[in-house]
Amino acid sequence: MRILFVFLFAFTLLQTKASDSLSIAFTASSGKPGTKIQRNQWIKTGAHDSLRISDFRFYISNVQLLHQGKIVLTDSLEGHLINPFQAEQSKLMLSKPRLPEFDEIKLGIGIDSLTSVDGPKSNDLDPIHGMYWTWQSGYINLRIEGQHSASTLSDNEFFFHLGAYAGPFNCYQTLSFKVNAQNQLAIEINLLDWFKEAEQIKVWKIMSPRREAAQLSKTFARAFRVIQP
Amino acid sequence: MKKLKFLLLLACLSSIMGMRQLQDSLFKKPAHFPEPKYAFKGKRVDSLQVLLGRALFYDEALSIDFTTSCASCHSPFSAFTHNDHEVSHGIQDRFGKRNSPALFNLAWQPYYMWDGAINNLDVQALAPINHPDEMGESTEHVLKKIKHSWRYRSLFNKVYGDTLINSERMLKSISSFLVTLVSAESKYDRVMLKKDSFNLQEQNGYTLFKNNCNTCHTEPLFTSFNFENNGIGMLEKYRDLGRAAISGDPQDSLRFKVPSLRNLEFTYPYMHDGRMQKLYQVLDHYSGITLQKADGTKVSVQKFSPEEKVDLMAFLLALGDRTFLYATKNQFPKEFFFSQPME
Ligand code: HEC
Ligand code: HEC
Repeated sequence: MRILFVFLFAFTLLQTKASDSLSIAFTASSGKPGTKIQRNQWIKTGAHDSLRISDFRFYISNVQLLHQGKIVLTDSLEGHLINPFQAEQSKLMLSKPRLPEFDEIKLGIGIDSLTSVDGPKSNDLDPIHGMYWTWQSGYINLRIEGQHSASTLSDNEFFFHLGAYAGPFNCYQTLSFKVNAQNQLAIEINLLDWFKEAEQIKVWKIMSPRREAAQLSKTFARAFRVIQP
Repeated sequence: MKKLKFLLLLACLSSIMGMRQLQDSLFKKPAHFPEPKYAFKGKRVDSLQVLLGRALFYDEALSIDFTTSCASCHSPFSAFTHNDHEVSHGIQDRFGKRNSPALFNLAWQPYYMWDGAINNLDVQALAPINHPDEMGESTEHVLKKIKHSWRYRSLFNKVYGDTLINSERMLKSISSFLVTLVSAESKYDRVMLKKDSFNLQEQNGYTLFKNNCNTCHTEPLFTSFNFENNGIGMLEKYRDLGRAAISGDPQDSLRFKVPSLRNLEFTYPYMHDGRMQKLYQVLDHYSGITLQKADGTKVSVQKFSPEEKVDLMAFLLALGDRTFLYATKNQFPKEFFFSQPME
């Protein structure tokens, strides 16, 4: 019996020693490399307009690492709630005893249909985070709120709650990009580009599944850039 | 070591068997019903969890002003719907725009609400709790109130083995009670199980039913669970488009989930907006109507003679289940709310 414990103890020690992790840090950017957007900071967009963002959160899910086209690691968590404006929530961590060699990352933006129909979840997917619609089952994949000088709503506010896991307005997006295997990655999200689309759509309050939400979700996925050191 | 292993095995086996028995007694699939859709897999359905869910269902603390429980709109004595109003009313007498559905045989439903907006029974309770006109609460605040009560702290601990109280556990407790609401002991069920027989009127009514209604209100659950338009038209005051608001498909306009016809006797008023008070109004509506189903086929309901209406009514009344209506296991759990601390 005692021998067993000693063995187990040694084993755990070994395990922690060999533990390895990949962190992916997300930042809101205005397009030029290294220009981070801060929460509630006014920024110019185009010649006349300016905007500021008070809430920016989204889900990342189904993270996979690949090597030469083959999946070598699948994230065990169903979703990560990312908040680039908050240091502790701006990073996604994959921890494994040993990280395999990889040259490609795949991820989902939002929560896919399988998870969406699977009932209530805890932690990042807990419906209390304001990222779940209660009157119609489904996660809000992306939530951006703030003020934009072009908004026609009172106080120039805007509310984008984008989501829908099925049907014609499905908002779930997938991305994949080549990387040099390492322990840290940075992803910049060019929100000014994204707002160009929102400015054209001119609907400043989207809080349920609809065509414009699907369109803006696609644009959001295109705004992701991996920064390789 | 060997002895220990044996004891462990024995303990495991007996707990699995104990669980089995509990599950069987709490949720039994009636012999003449199809397999339920609800995913029991990996979920505990034990008597304590069901008691916890039942307590939450009857607890007014789930509403912002402690006035409204789930049972306020879903009363056990009307097969878990509400009889007084066309549409349900919640906190501060606010009215919604829909009639609260009766609650039974929920484990067979693929989705919930008149328009299928809710995709899983386990998340259903989020809707009324957070609805400004129903309970007007937030999930977070309800959890805070629950954590404040020693009765809940103690029962959560017994059910889940630790003191964590979160939304997942609260919601799954509520739905564990909801799935036990099985109604399958009407005269119709006894006839199907060859324990009783229809009288002549009921038998005629059954034939009329099969020829005219069964395509949408399909036996033995008396619904196909499809979204259909039964031709009642839209009420201007609510402008409720039904399924289209969820699917985004204009074709789904004015389609609603086909409701079960069990327990109709107790569940008036009828239709998603409660516009019909009496069953004969419903039969008058259907008599001689032609409906287009969502799958494109046409249903021509025959014109009913006064005698045929009586027969059809007799059959519909044979779908009432008084055993379900008066089952104490579904009612207000005194044993929880009047329990005393153990100290
Ligand atoms: C203010 C009245 C009201 C309260 C309180 C209320 N409900 Fe309901 N319930 C309704 C209405 C109305 C609907 C139909 C809503 C719709 O179709 O949009 C409904 C639908 C449902 C359904 C779906 C039934 C079906 O056949 O699709 C379930 C399950 C349910 N309620 C359970 C609950 C639970 C559990 C609670 C407490 C947490 C609760 N309700 C509180 C009015 C209420
Ligand atoms: C084309 C499909 C269809 C056919 C055929 C049909 N129904 Fe319905 N029925 C529905 C739908 C859909 C509803 C709900 C409509 C609404 O609320 O807007 C409904 C509602 C009802 C209701 C109200 C139930 C409640 O709880 O509110 C009754 C009673 C009813 N039908 C009886 C019948 C009878 C009797 C027949 C045959 C004579 C029949 N139906 C034929 C689709 C159908």
